[in-house]
Order: sequence, then structure tokens, then C-alpha cells
Amino acid sequence: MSAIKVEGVSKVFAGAGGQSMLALSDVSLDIADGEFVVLLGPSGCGKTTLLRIIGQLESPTVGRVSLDHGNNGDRPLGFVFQEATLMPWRSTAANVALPLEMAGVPRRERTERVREMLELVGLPETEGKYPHQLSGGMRQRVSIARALAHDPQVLLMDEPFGALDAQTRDMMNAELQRIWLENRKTVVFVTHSVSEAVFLADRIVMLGTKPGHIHSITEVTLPRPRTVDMTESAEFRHLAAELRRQIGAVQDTDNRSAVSA
Amino acid sequence: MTATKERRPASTPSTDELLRPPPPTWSQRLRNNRWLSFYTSPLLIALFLVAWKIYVEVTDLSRFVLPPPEAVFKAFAAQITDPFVWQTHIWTTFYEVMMGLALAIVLGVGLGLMIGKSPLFDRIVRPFIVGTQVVPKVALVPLFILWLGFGPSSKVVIAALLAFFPLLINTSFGVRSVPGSMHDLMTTLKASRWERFWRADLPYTMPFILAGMELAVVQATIGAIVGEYLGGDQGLGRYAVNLQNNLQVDKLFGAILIMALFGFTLYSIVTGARRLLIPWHESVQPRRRP
Repeated sequence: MSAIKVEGVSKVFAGAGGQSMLALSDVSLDIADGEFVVLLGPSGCGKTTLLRIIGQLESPTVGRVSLDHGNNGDRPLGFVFQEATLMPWRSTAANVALPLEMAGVPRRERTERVREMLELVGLPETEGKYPHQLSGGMRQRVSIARALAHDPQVLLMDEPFGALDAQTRDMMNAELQRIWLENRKTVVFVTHSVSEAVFLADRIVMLGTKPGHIHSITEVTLPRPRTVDMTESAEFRHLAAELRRQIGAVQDTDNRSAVSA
Repeated sequence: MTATKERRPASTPSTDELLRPPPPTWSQRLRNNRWLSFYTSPLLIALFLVAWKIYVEVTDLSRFVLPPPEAVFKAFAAQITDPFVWQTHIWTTFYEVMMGLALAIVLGVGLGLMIGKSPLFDRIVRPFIVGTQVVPKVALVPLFILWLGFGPSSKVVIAALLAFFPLLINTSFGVRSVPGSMHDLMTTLKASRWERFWRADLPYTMPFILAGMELAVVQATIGAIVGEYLGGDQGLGRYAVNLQNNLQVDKLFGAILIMALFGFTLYSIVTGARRLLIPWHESVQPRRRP
């Protein structure tokens, strides 16, 4: 059963001076329940736009997106942004509690759930801290806890670890995999890092540019849980090399068409 | 025996020695002293008073031009303990400033939120708002007195008119500074208009509103006092005019001192409110050392 169905989606942005820009052209994609899909591609390929359309932050110009919430009713989905987007006036616990408050969950249940979530992201002792007292990695973890707090069936992540240093990023990827293995949400994850994509994905959707379209879809069959050591394995490196070659090809045709145009 | 001067190589300092902080210099100790102004301010004031006293004595100035400091203090002490001064003047001005501020908060913050939220509304309303501000507001005082009389209500309006603008500008600026990602977050959580305002826009704008308040409270005080100067029957401004007419210069100085303390008190209340209302904001956090 597919959790997310993207059918023939195109997106036009009205640019400055009446110049319109085709950001996505005829994108169709089925994402299964509990699947971890990574949208990969060079900058300007519309991967973030596609994610925002799935998350209903943008509406498609043509086509439609259907989300199957299962028996969750009209529950909002979880969204993790490039920046943690925590509210500086709320403590860590209150930030995580935000979606629960808005869903009208009673206080007692809320504190219980917040504690559970902070434990899940490995920050059980930061409840009373404020965002400015946390490091960048910790803040992003809090925002993941917030995105999961109301138990959404779908989790959308827009380059959540892009601003972190390489070591922290590896660690966060491993953490994210652990969290995902624990609760099996449907995840759509945007990145431009090939190794991040291979490490996390069940399926990698490679997008090409001008206009944004699906270039290829690659299944990643590496066993789980994947470890940082596995990134040194021949299979991992072979797959990563192939994907890098594809990105290179996408960018090359891009440059050529730009030159000929 | 040949006297050779032995030159010992300077011994390299141990890690311990390197890590030991050097004794602070005199100027560093001065700069790091938190209580510095508690010593220097009284000292400077004392110096000023002595200079004042000497000037009056040496030039033998008339008491009607510049009374000596001790005469001013005597007058001030009498005024500040006089229930009549409290009931008629200080209370009236306080009432006018507070009512003016309340009016300015309702209008300034309300309109500021609307302007910040709607660029269209901004474009329609802004020319008129700027219009009210480029007119020298003090020039409108006689008009308000003509319309509303010599009582407090004309001063309330003047105080509000002066305090309104900084509140409006700061509020609209604050609403507009709410980051796009914050709006996205509220959208993904399916927030209603009201929830979006209450949980994101308003708390985010609070530091800006309080910055506007700091200016507004000063402006409202000026508005009320100037209004009383130009036409009033009570209040600190009227009191000062009376004292001037009676040539009670020592008491006039005392009245000015009362006004200064009055303004300082209101200002302190607003800055104190920052700690209470936005304890999370950087401006309230103790500064971290680099």
C-alpha cells in the first residue's frame, strides 16, 4: 500500500518581471508505507520543492499528491527543516510539546510523551534547557523529537543535517536510522550528499535539472542496521560512485544545454 | 681567573606558569569592576554639586537665577513630602501618561500587527500614519486643548499621539521578522490563523514591542508634561509653570528633579518588564565572554 502518491506533478514559479520558471516537470512517484526514500540531486533540481509539495507547503501547478494517513485521520505530518526552527521562548520540552498542545493532548499525557521523545533522540536531560543553550546538533535532534511527537505516519526531512560538521552528521545519520528502525515511519529525506543518501535510503530518487524531473530510481539493498564501517565496503563505494557519476552526467547535460541555448 | 659573564638561557616557563593568569593590570581591574558606576556616579554628582556651590558663591548670583544646591534640596525635600504635590500634580501626570500609553498600546500594537501581517493594508494606511508624524505634534497641542479642555483628557491624547508611533513601527517590524520557516512549521502543524498568531507571531514580536515601549514611555511623559505647560490646571508641567510665575526658582528646580525621577521610574518599570516577559531573549541574557 502506498503512503504517498505523487501523480504527474509540475510546478511553475512566477519569477521576477513576469518570467515564469518551470521547477518540476511531470513527476510521478509512489512511496510505500514505512519506506525510507531519499530525494537526491544537484542544487536547483527541485528536490526541496517536491518535498514541500508533498508536505502541502506548496501546491502543485498541475497534478496531485495524495497522502494516506491510514487510521490517523487528518493528523499533520512531521516536518524537519534545514534549520531546527525551534521557538527560542520555549524550553526544549515545550518545543517538543508544541504539536501535542495543538492537537489538544492533555498535559499529563503530553509530559509523558515529551519525555519519551527526548529519550528517543538521546537528549533525556535537556528538558528545561532553552534552544540557545544547545549545540547545533542537539537543536536538530530536538526538532526531530518535535516532528515525531504527535506520532505522524509520514516524516519529511529537508536537508536536516546540512549545517552540521561531517562527524556530527555521520552520528546523526546513524541515530536517524536507529529511530526509524524503532518506529518505521514513512520517511522522505532530501539531501545533496551521496553518501548520506546511500547510508539511509531504501530507495534513492535521483532528480535532474532544467526542469526538475526524475532521472533514475535506485534500490539500496545493503543490510540494516548499516554502520559507519560499512561506508568503507566495496558495495557501498560502488553504489556511491555510480550515483556520483549520474549526478555528474545530469550536471553535464545541463551545462551543455546551457551552452547550446 | 677570568671573569666570564655567564649568560644563563632564560628558563622556559612550565605549562602551569603559562596557564596562570597574569596579575590584572590597574585598568583591567577597573574595567572588570561590576560596581564601578556605584562609586563613580555619586562621586561625579558630588563634584558637580561642589562646582555649582562654588560658582554661586563666587559670582554672588541672585537666588532667583540660580539658587545654591542646598536650597534646591530643601525645596525638593519639602515638595516630595507634600501630599498636595502628590495628589494634584504627580498623580495627574501619572494618570495622563498611563492612559496615554494604554491608548497608544492598543492602537500602535494593534495597527502594527495588522500592517506587519498585510502588505496591502500597509500600503493603504502608511501615508496617513506618516502624515500624523511629520506634523510637529506639539503644534497640535493647542488644538486638543481647544477641543478637549484643560483637564487630563487633552493630555492623554497628546501622550498617546507621541507614544503611538514607536510602538507601531517596532511592532510591524517585529511581525515582519518572523522567519519563513516558523510560518512553514505552523502550516505543517495545520495551525489556525489564531494559533499562528498566538503561538508564533506574538511571542516572536514581544521583544520588538518592548523596545517600542522603552521609547513610548519617554515620549508619553514628554507629551503629558508639554500638554500641561501649554494649558492645564494640574500636573507636573502646570506645577512648574506656577513656580516659574511665582519666581520660586528653588522649587522649580525641585519640580524638574521630580519629573526626572518620574521618568526614570517609568523607564525602569519597562526595562524590568523585559526580564519578566522575555527572559529567553538575548537582550536579557547575561553577556557571554568571548
